[in-house]
Amino acid sequence: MRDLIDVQRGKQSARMFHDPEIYEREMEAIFGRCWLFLTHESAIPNFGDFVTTRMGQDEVIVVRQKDGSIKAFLNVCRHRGARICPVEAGNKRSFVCNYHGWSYAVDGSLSAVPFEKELYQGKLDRETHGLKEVAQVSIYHGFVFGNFDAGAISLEDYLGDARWYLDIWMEASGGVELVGPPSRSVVHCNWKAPCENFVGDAYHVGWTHASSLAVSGSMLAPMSGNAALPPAGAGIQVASRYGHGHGILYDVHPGGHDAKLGEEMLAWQATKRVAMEEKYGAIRTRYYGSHINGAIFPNVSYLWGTNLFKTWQPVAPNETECWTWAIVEKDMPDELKRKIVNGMHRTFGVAGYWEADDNDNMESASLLTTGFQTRKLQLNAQMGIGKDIVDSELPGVLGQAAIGETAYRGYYRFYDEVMRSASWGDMDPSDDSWKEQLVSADV
Amino acid sequence: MNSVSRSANVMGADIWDGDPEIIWDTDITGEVNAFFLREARLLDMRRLREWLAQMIDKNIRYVIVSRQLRYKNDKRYDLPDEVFIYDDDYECLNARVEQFHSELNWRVNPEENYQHMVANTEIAQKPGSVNLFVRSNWFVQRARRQYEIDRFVYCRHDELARDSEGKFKVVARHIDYDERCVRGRNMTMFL
Repeated sequence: MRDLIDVQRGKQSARMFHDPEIYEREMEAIFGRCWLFLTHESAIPNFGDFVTTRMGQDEVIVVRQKDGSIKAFLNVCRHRGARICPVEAGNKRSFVCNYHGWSYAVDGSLSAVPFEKELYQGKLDRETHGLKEVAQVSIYHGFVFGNFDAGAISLEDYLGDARWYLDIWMEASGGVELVGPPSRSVVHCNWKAPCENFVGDAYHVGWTHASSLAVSGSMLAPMSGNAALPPAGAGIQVASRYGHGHGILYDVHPGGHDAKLGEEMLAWQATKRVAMEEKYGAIRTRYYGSHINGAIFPNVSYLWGTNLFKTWQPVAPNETECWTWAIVEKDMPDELKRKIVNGMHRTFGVAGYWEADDNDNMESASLLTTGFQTRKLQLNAQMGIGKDIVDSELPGVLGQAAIGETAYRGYYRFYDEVMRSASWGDMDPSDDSWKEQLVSADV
Repeated sequence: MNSVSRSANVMGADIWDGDPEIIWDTDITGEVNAFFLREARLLDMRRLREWLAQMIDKNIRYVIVSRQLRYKNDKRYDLPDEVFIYDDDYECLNARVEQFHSELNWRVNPEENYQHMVANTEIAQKPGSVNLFVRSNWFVQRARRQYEIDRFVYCRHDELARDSEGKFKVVARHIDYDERCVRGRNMTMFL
């Protein structure tokens, strides 16, 4: 793992998309220790409501408890390991395994075993055969995350300096909801290939999406075919302590949506901006009206403006499952919500034409690493290197342009740190040297 | 029979929930079959502009839904189970067609190849309506680049109307796509 990531020079080994032992280490060090998105609270409002999802390759059930809290469990019977729940969402008072009928309460405890007295004759310890619970579950502005590691830092600390940016749309907007159910599809790529793209790649937009931009009628259309760069000062990029990242393209909030919907969205935003500016300041109000690409490490991607929220669930080194929800502001009229949800799936759902543009690149960049010589290559994320700064007002490490690879470098800096650490104890939250690492990086 | 969703109800596909009187008049079945075969041919040959202009009504609603897995009798959980993979009007379909034909669309260069196959076609009418409601099963294969073979199997509900010249146009298409997690990369082709 030592020579995988070159933080100083902004390079990564192509092996990271291929090697099974790297993938196994990721399951342990990243998916076993980092905060992973489970669901939005609004999907499980009542006692007994549940969704099933994945944390790494592990299937989990996420259930609303009687006291209103949320717990998560491996979706696995503690008898012979069969799946407890075969559906994706619902409401249950108990989960009964199809194999032998062991029954679990919503709190995960083993509540009934068929013919327990006659067949086990007092030798079954129910206490130690409850569903295996996910060590921590925590909620941030309605977004529910789980963590397998009881020793992990809190979700708030983990989101850290990225919260200042997340709060713009999660809080200052008046709150958002995720509209489900998610669409689901398989992408034949390594899970990091799309994640690194969403964390910090505004460069590909004009070229990869040239044809989509040309027909979109969107505010970004002038970038089609690299006909134009965004003007100088058109945005910034942000890297943060735990790998999360953002790219902000000023004043073009509706992003990939068509012009008609874009106008409606801007008109909606205009009704909120005056009050927002008073409470949150001019800069964050501007960001609210901007297009933001972002990532929550390790595998959440979102676009504020194009309104998508995705998780990239690893299946194998070269196979990833994509789950896509739509983000809408809670207090939007239903009709506007509906248009945004449809517009988002039209561009970034299973049949989204922007999504298909992207996934073609994700697949080739991943599958080519089956080549022995290919995976000896280094990948380059050096755009803007040597120019990253720390600002007195804006949290994180900043790239001073709309287009650059600052957030790539921040993503892989933490990737390297967490992969090489034995535990959270090795990653001191008060250690600020990560900023210097990124700022002093250069070719 | 597959359960039929709320969007299908709105779009008239709920006629297939019951046991409607099937039209076996050979003039009509022959005409509908010819219409479907021509549609398959135009789509296979990537003649998408002609397909849109000649076979799709200007008031089309083109819907493909994916359905979240739920227990059959879950009465206590009532959040929507449908996600709209497509919910397009004519203008949206046109944008997709133009994107496909754009010189800047690197993804379909070299060209993708498609085969659409249709079977199990049944035709019915609603009382008082002149439009035809057609249920059919389809198989589509996409061959792409050196190794990519993607396959899509689905039941299609169409509502066909006659234009002023008496030719069929699709006014509504509803597909309830069975494969929950789509393995075929993307569904950017027309089903």
